[in-house]
Amino acid sequence: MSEPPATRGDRPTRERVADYVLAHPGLHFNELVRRLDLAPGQAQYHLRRLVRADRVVDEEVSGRTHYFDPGIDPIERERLALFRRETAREAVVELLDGPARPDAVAGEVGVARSTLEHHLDGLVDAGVVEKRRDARGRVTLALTDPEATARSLRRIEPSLPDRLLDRFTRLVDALLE
Amino acid sequence: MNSLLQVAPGVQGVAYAVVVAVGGVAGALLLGLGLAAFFRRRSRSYLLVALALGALVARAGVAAASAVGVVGPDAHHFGEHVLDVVMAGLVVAAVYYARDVRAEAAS
Repeated sequence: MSEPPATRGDRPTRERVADYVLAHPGLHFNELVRRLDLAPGQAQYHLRRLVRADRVVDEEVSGRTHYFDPGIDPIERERLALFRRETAREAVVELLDGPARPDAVAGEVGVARSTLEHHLDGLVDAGVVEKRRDARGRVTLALTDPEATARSLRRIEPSLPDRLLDRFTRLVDALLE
Repeated sequence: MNSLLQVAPGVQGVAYAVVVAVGGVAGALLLGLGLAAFFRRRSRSYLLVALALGALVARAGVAAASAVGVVGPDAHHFGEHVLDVVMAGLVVAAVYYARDVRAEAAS
């Protein structure tokens, strides 16, 4: 794959974007724009070229594009993207203690069942969490690979806007319940 | 806020301006959160909540407009009550549709 020659002025910005993505795996596009203080068009231009040059990879997870070091394998990428969301992360942290009923997890995390279910959809799709059903069809949540999950969690720290947005949706879900 | 307006023309004008400004900034922040939440969830309830927060910001807008004399006191008063009705209606609708979605999910 050949990259079109970049002009000199592009270089430092592109390196900045590349370094940041490698140091903060799993951030989504808007978050990168905010943290790097770039215009969205500018960020898009550089990210597209970095992706084309195989220096970063992009991954679509639950409607957002997240960026990663290509050295991170696809399964880990999806995990990191999901763990960038506070509620999903906290639910998973609860399950590190062992399998639990959904109501208990929602209670521990302090979210409405509907909020938990929304995040569980992504976690189950990504193979992080599994729903086990007993003979009477009651669901127990469990981590499929607790050790890998613990390793992934250690690479993540949340941003303030993400935290605010997560808490706002939780509050609204709880109020509308 | 309305009673403040009626006694506000002199010294309390500054307090009035501060209250309107703080209300506007806080409302805009909430509206931002509401819109971001809607774009994340894309549900009707979240759209209605975001619109209700929009009405809150519009309320601050009406207060500011009356402070600079664009809107008269009567229109200001009436406008704010209309926005109250709009806001309440939007929240009621958001609650209604939240029930609807759960009923679908349960069946």
